[in-house]
Amino acid sequence: MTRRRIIIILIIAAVVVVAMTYGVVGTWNLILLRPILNFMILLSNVLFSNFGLAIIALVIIVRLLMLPLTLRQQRSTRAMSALQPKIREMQKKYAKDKQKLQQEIGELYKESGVNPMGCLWPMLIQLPIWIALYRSILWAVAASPEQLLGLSQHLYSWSVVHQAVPLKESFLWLNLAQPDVPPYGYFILPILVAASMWVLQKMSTVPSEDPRQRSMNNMMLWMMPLMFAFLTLSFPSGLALFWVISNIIGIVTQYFVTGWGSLFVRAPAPAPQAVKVQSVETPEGASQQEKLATERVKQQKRVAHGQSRDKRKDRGRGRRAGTKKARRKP
Amino acid sequence: MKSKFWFLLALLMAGCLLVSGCLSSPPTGWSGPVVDDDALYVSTTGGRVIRYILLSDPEPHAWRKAHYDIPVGGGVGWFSCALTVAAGIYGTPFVADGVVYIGTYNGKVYALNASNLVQIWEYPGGEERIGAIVGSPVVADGVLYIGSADGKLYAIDIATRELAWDEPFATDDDIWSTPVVHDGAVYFGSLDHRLYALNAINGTPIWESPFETGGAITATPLILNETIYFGSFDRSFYAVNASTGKAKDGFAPFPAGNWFWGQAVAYEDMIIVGCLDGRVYALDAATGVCKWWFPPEGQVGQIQGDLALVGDLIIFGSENGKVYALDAASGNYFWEYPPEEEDHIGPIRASIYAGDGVVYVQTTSQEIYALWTESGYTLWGPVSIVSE
Repeated sequence: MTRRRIIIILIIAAVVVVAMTYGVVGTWNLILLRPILNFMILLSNVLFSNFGLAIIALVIIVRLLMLPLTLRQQRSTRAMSALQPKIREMQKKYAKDKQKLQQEIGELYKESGVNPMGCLWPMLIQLPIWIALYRSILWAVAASPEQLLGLSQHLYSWSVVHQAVPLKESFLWLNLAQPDVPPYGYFILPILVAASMWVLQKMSTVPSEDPRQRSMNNMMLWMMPLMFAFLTLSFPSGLALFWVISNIIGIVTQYFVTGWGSLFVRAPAPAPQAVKVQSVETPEGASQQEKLATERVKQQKRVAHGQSRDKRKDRGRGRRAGTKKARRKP
Repeated sequence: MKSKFWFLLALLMAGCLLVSGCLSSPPTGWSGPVVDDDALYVSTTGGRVIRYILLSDPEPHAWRKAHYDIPVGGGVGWFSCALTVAAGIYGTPFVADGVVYIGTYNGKVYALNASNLVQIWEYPGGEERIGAIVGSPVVADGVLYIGSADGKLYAIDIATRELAWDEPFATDDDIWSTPVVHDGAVYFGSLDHRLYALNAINGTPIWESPFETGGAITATPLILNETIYFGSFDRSFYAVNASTGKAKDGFAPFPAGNWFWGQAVAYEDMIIVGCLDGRVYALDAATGVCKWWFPPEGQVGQIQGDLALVGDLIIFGSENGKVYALDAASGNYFWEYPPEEEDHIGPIRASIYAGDGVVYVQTTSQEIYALWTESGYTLWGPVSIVSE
């Protein structure tokens, strides 16, 4: 058993023991919520009693800590998307033999050095941390007397934390405990949340030739930003600020992984006939087509580059693992 | 495909509205009961003020009653439940000279006729509002004093219904504490960590500088022998000289396990106060040394409301849904309601009212109880005020 596996098993065992002692909610509070909440209040105290700055700093810190996981997830997603045309071909080829299809797909993953679960587990690890961050901001904002009363039960016994509460609500034009809508604001944050989320979504969406996938992507591209913008209309601005900063950092990270991605591609990869018609009809259509093609080539290069980097890493790991295994074998 | 897209989008939006409305819990309030001239006044989380006539026959359905609904308004969030919920009432109603005064979380002060709860006036009038009101109003010498979340203490002349001072007194943070008027001065705490003393007539500060603590102050000050006693969010209990605004000589601030929210009471040479750490402390009024605490081991739930002193008994409600009575001199347990250890009523955040041998308790689950002071037995209750 590798050292890494032993550590993971030990962590899981510790969490199970704590969960059996404190219950699920108690464990959640003990391990994630209370540390994040108290750290955020501490940050606010350090940052000139400014809760807005504390939210921004905390999001940046958490994002930086999770950067390796985020990068891994983004590269895995890209690599998986790059394999989709080949997988579709296989699906057509082995439509009647499911077992063979699974075998071939498995082989393809192995050859390409792609782990289909590679984009899932970094996301699973990040999810509870983001939920805890979100919840702790809601707690710290303490928008009503009831919430402030509840907050008293979650603070550490550090004097500095108790002295900082309730946190100052004003930041720039915002009242962080109220939504950015009249009479407290000007609808700026809902717009920023929607816009930043749309940009991030657009950058991270891989152009697809599959019409079903395309319509799904399109739906997500609009639904998520609109949904969050609606939520921002009634949630405290502190939470909206968290979403905006998180999205902006996400955009920067995404840029370093895939560049602008599909952001400046107007239409999703069109079918050949449609392109023909467009290019004949207008000169703009031709230039658009050229743009699309250039962007696609660029992306393929980037994906291939990311993939080959992953491959190199995996090969290295494989070799190392192989050596260990070989050593263990008599 | 397009129609499916828009259908899904609409469905998602509806879900968002539902989620945003239900997750953003609106302020509901925790107002306590008050009795005046055989009438009991309570307010609900729905923003309704109710008046019951306490008859000799304790049959709730036979009581004559009146009610007043605080107008809806001042909610926050465009799609949250807050818009559909009436104003929360946190402070206990103040009854004087046949008028009931109430401050609401949506920034209005109401004066109602005590006999039928018909509105006499409101401040400010029309669509105007001041900041959210959490403390109770206090009336002294024809002036109503009330603090607001806009950081200002308002003095309203109840004859003219206009400001009694040139302008409200401004602090650096919300005022949630109930002001106390004593010897021509108004004393109150603010979330800006300071305790203030103002001239009740013109609103000018009496002390050179306000008394500064390490935490926010929501507690109503207690004044005894020219000393002001109050606790703070820095988990310390203080004694301040009322005339100088300096810490009382010989009194060491008492450190507890959590914030002090409610008002203390004085018994003989002791100051007795409840704390959010789930304990009641009895401190020497001169030195601040703790004479006893309850419970001796562990803690009951958060004690937020003011304690009631009835004869030699200290009576208080707790977040754990229990009412306790203690011997004020020794801190010994006297009775609890409900009497069975495992039984609980709803969480109690409001101050309880004690008078004429009866204790009135209001829970956050919107039920009222009347208990005999001496035994803790039920005179009547629970009576749900939600459906009233």
